[in-house]
Amino acid sequence: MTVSLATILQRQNWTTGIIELDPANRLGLFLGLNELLEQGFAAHLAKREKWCSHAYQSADQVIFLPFGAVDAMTKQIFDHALYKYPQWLKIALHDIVVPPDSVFFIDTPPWPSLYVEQACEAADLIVVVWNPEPLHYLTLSAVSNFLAKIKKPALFLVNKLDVRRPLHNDLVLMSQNHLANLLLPYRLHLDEAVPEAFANNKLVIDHAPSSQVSHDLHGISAYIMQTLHKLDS
Amino acid sequence: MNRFFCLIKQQLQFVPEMNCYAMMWRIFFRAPKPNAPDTLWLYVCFLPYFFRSKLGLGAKDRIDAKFFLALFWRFPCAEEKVQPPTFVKGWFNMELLAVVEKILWPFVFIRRFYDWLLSKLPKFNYDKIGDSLSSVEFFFERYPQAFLLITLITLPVVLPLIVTTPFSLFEQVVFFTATWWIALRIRRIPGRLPILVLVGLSILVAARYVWWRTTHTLDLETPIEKFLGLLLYAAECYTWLILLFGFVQTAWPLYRKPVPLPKETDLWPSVDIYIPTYNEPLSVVRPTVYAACGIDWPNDKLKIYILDDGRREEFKLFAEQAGVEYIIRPDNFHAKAGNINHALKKTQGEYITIFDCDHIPTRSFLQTTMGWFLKDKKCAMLQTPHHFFSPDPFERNFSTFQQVPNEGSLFYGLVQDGNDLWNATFFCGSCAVIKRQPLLEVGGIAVETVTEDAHTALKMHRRGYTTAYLKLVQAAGLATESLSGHIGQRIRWARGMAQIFRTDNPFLGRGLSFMQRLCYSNAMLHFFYGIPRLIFLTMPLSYLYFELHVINAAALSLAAYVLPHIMHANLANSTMQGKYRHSFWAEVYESVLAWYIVLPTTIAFINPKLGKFNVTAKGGLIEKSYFDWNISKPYLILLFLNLLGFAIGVGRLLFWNQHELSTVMLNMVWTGFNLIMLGAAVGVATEARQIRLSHRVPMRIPAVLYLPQGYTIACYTDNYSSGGVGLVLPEETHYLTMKDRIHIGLNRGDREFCFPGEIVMLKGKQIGIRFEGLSTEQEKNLVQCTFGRADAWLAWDEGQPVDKPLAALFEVFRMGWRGYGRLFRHVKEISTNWLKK
Repeated sequence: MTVSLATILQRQNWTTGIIELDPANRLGLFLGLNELLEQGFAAHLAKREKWCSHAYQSADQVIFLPFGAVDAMTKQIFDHALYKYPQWLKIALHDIVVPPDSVFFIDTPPWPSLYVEQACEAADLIVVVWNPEPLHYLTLSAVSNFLAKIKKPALFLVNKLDVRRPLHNDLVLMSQNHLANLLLPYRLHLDEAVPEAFANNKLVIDHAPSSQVSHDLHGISAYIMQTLHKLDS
Repeated sequence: MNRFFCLIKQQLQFVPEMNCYAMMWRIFFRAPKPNAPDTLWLYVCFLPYFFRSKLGLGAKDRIDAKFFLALFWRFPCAEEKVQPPTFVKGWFNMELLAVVEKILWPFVFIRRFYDWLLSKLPKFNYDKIGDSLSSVEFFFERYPQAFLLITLITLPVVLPLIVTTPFSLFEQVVFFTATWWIALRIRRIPGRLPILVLVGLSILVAARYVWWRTTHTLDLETPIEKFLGLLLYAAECYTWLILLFGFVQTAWPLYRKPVPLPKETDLWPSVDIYIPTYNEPLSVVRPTVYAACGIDWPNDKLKIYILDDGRREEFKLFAEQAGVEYIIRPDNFHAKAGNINHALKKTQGEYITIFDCDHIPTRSFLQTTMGWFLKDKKCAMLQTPHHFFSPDPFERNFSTFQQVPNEGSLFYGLVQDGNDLWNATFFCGSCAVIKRQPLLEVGGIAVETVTEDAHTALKMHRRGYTTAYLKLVQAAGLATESLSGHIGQRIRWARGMAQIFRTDNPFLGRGLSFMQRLCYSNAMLHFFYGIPRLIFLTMPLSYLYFELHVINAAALSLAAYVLPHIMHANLANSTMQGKYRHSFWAEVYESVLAWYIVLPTTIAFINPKLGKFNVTAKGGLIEKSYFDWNISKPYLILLFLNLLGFAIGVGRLLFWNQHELSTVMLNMVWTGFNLIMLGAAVGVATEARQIRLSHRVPMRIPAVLYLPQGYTIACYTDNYSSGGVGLVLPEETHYLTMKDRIHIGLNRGDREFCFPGEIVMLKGKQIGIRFEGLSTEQEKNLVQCTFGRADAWLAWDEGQPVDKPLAALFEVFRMGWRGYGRLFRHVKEISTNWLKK
């Protein structure tokens, strides 16, 4: 999803980038790679090198900073650094020379984690992605408490929604009452085209442009940009 | 001798292969130079082919009678078969305009001359003039008194001077040419003020005609002529009065905008929704109730009631199921009015909203309407338009749905807004909100007359309450199904209005302002058009049959006065109401209804107590197209009489009594116009076949298609009904097959609902889906996602063509023409059946 959003914006002539702040190191696969990347900024950072020396660019000109494969030791050093300097990413982002109108996505593992906190510290806008399952729903209040504590603007996005399932509908309705206008008006629908696109090494917006998911993604990107504009002014 | 012929042959350069025509040609025209083609002769040879192709004749057709007929008559050719299916095939179906074009095609130079003339004339920048006038308009809008003052001072001075000055025929023609030229210029200027000037011009010309007609033409000889002449004069007086009232009523429409409600919902009042029903099937009532349940209003302040005068068990069950209240009463006194009055005693809401059982409200109904009640504490009633998503008999039988504005369009589009300026909006029985307390003050809904709605509003106005009109379609329903049903409904309205006119005349009694009296009177007087219309339909016959002179004037001078009047009135009306009523269609509507409302209005006028309420039948299905002989009987008689009159006229022109040719011609033109109207009236009586029970409403809203394989497709609806939906896909897909079980997601506000269905039609990008196995809850959601959408009817009048008087005239001609075609076809059908027996 992050990759699709970034690509949509890039095609609208924004400079976009993705920072993978996730030790799972899988984002590269969505950008067209066939195997996990070895190189990444985490390992280099642990060695105190310039962190963005390992940037890639996708076929659609999206800048990509992979996490890289790390062993347990390196990861621990990295984690420790993150713990010690909660503002690290925020400061580090200033090092990157980019045009003024650019959008960077930071992809994180599920909450709660150090990575999420680090990302939240750096971000202008937080998008919480959740699946309409009871477990996720129950965590929502904890997430919103956390967000209230850090006082950052946030949006909640429903993912993999299947309107045919009454449970999904109920949970969305409940979250609507609960989150009010924090909930994004666009939801990502569950669609077979998404895994199919991945298997074909394509983005879903190219693989199935007329699917509802592609429409959702376009709507979401527009909504996010609109919110960012509002925050700027 | 032989040598002589040889010499001639040589001199004229005859060639053996020449035929006799070519030889004759050569006698008059010199032979071409050697080896050069004989261009002129080739052209001549080509001419018949050229004519044939232009006239739509085959290459093998000889130049015979058919060829000459084709000069005036277009023969149906092969390409016409692929045109959309129409009722009558053959000659009667051809376009009149096309015929005229065909006849006129050689006279291209006339058209060229006209274009050249236009290019030489000075040009006006109408928009600029309109802009500069807008400040004056704004001033008048703020100080309407100033406008009234100016009008009141200038009128008594200018009008008598212009109106009573005697002109010779030539001067009158010059005067008309001048006013007509001014009117045509002014018509192009945007804004309200130019319209008022047009109205002023029309009144001026009309007044001149009235004056001339009154002083110069009523001096008739025999008593019978005197009687008929005065009858015609009275009928004309009626139309002048209605014209004048109409101008005043619609001169300045208010176009009220909705007022937002306060943010705190505690301040919102409580509302009861009444859905009265008597004999309508449950399938008609169900969507209305479901949509009413979806209206956006605090739950504790909204109660929905089905008022069932049929006392049916299934309705009771349905009410329980849908979670709405169900009220019945022991008797059926006073029909709908009595039903509502009974419910008034049993409910407590501060406001009452009434929906006819087939009017499906949108969810925003209360939020858009209630604001005015909170702003204007004296406001007792707010009316919204009645919108019909199915064609009425006129629209269906003429196939003019969404092409020509229907009969009600003028009333809800313009008249009510005009009334609103003078605080004279009528209650129309449905799609309205009424405040309980004023309603109780006037004793509930009026029961004295059969149009209880208008009467109730009149009573509230008398007590000093205000009413409002909001031209936002917030509910839509079914139009009457058959012509007989339609006529029945109009008869009821006409009778009711006549009753009110007699029992509670708006010109008498207390509590109304002058303009309110005028608006009400116009609404009531309007329904007395029956007798005048019949007089106009028959009056020229008195001359053609019996040579009675009902107007003492030369035909030319009559034309010089009456034509300007008609043309100016039409121009002003067309400019004012062009969006809501096309020129000459009022005549069609009136001609159809005239005969039927004469008796009810007259009887109600004499004794208001006679006559009973008849329920308008809706939701039916016309299975087979048929000709309604019963309904069209009076028109067939009138048609026959007029045809005979026309034939006599032709005879008088050609064979006997040829001393008054211009009068005969004038009367024939009049009869011809009547024949067109009657043709249209007869045409409406052919009831077109209706295929679906649930009407398809064209509407484009986003939808999601969920395929069984797990894919989704974002698409749009093309049309929908309670039974199914038509979708347009962004591209053709091979995942779909007929009978596939799929799901459709539709949005209501920010919620998405899913409905199971089956594919019943697959045609490229278009697919048709029938809903299957919907639960009650799903049915409710479906209505709220489609008919109940806040934006469901907002764009209903977009894309409707605006009136062009000449085009409208041709359209009406065409309808008349088609009417004859249908009549001819049905007569043929019946006679062949009869012969077979």
